[in-house]
Amino acid sequence: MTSIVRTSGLIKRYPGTVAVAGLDLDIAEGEIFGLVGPNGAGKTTTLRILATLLQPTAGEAEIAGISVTRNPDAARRVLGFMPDVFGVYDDMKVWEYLDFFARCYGIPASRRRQMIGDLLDLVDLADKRNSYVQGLSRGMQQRLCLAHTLVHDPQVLLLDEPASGLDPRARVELRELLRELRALGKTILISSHILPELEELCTSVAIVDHGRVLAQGRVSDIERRLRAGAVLRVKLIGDEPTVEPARAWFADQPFVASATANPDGTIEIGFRGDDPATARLLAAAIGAGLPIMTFARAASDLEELFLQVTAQNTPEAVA
Amino acid sequence: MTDTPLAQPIPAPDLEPPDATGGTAAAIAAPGADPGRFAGVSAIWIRELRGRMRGKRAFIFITIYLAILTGLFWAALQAGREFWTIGALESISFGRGIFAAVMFIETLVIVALAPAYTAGLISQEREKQTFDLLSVTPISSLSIILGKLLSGLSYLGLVVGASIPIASVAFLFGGIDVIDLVRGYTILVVTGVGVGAIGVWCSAAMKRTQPATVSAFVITALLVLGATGSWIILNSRVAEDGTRLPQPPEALLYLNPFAAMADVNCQATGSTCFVGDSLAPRVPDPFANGGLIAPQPAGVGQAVPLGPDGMPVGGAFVPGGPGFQQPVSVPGGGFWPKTVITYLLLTPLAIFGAAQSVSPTRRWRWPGRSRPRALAVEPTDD
Repeated sequence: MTSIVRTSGLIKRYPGTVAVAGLDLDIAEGEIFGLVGPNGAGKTTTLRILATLLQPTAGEAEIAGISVTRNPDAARRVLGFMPDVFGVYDDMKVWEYLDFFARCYGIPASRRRQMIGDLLDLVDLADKRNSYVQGLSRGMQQRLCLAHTLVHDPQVLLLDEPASGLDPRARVELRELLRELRALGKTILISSHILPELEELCTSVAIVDHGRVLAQGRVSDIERRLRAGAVLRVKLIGDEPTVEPARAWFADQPFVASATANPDGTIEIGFRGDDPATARLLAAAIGAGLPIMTFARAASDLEELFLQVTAQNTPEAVA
Repeated sequence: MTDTPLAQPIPAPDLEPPDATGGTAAAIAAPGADPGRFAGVSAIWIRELRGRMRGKRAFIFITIYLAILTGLFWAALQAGREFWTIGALESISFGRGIFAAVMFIETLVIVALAPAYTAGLISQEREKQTFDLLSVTPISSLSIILGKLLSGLSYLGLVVGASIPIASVAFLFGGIDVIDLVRGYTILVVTGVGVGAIGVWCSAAMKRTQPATVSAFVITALLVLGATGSWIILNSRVAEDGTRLPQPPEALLYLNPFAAMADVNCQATGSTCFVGDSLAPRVPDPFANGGLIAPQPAGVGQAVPLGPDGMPVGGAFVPGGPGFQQPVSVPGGGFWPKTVITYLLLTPLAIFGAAQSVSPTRRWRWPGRSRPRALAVEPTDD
């Protein structure tokens, strides 16, 4: 699969802080790639560097083989950028808004009208064509902004927190729209901290923290890697007195790094074994007469992955 | 970066080939043509005008402005009704006076409104958070600045242009040629563009509109009035022995469009002028303009009363009175082209400064030096 977005050793320093600290990304063509990270992880800085809005302190970034630092003008032609916080020209109508950006990209007048109609159909704003932008809802403005990134038919879309501030329905609509764009051949790099959404939408993710990529790949692959360090959650039948002996029993078993009793009566087990070892542990627990009601792996979604990865790579851990 | 097992990229999944020929895909495929170096100018210009000219506000302002101008003109006509029956010479003088008054008002409008209209053009985009969207388009920084400047000055041009018929009424009385009108509006245009460019520069250099507007007005005031004030102060210096010190450089007055406009009016009269290579000793002949002295900056061209020793001592101007230096006949028209040239030199400097300030990633670089210097910094472990 051809790589269409690539960063290598990307560094961005501000006085007194390092926003991006040697970030490496490799995104294949046609992917919906999620950039996951807490606030201050460097997601927005990375996207703004890729969008040619920021100069990196060091490192290299390419989109479709074009260096965004050495040839930003050419890079702007193959990317569409939607910032996390954006304003709209409130004195314009919806079609004028798209017409303005189409002019900026040199789209001939003969094609603008048709293109604007198609884009409004795509983002489901055709009936708002002659409405003023300021009169649109937040979700509609978000979709209009997304439409504006498409006027020049870019290969790559850089979307910074596109779902922030949207209600659940608007989020679902946006998600469907992004899937449609992927079907149209676009590569989408999307940053968000609303992890369940990314999990449903993204083909791959990179978990970023403190300006570094901590994990990168398909969610299932990252999870598989993490299984060696998975968290098992066990709930027992019975009263609280049964918990402590059970915790002590689990703590003595092979591959168990830790066993902690939670206030809610569950036991959380740090487990380094693989799937067969997990099955053996469960069988041994039942054989030992522990009244097990539930026995499950805690790290089953992106949110858990994110927490695990970032917990393993706190500054202290990294150091 | 600390290498962890998790940090190794995992090969991307095999995706289905994109449906690049699917219905909507083919329809919206509109790859951007090369817009050309200045194509973005028209895009920004049209967008700004759509916003500015929409609604009643713009037209109400022009109507009020023209109504005030017409009212002043009508009042002048009423005051000068006697000239209509006196004779051709008086009528000519009256026409020149009308022309001078309109040009003075237009200059005032330009100097006052050009910074106001341009100082928010870039900073407002930043405040409204629309500038990022504009910045990721292929429009060059120069085109952004030129488009903004053009849009800011277009409305001002409409305001000034709408007054041309009023200024042209002076033709009815005579004494004014079309070339005088052209000269006057040439000064207005170059002044407007120059002051507007300063406003855009301030707007690009500052994040907020309020300080940008204040800065634009302060800089304009310093250039237009401050320099003239400096000239007047320097020119009034007298040495300890009572002799007059050398005159300050005339260039201090070049950026004063009022002085240039007065020179144009003076040129129209074909008589003596008060701005030129040697200002102070020369006085206007108040009767050369039919008793109507063209607008002039304070202190410039005023009569210089002479004491018994022949030195200037100050005092009220009494034409032909004793002790006053006689007017020196200096043909008008030698000064205003210098103002035009000065503004023509200032404007590109301000535009260049604005283009450099508009965005850190859009700065002009020397040809062949495509890699910013900052990128030469080697990564270090943090």
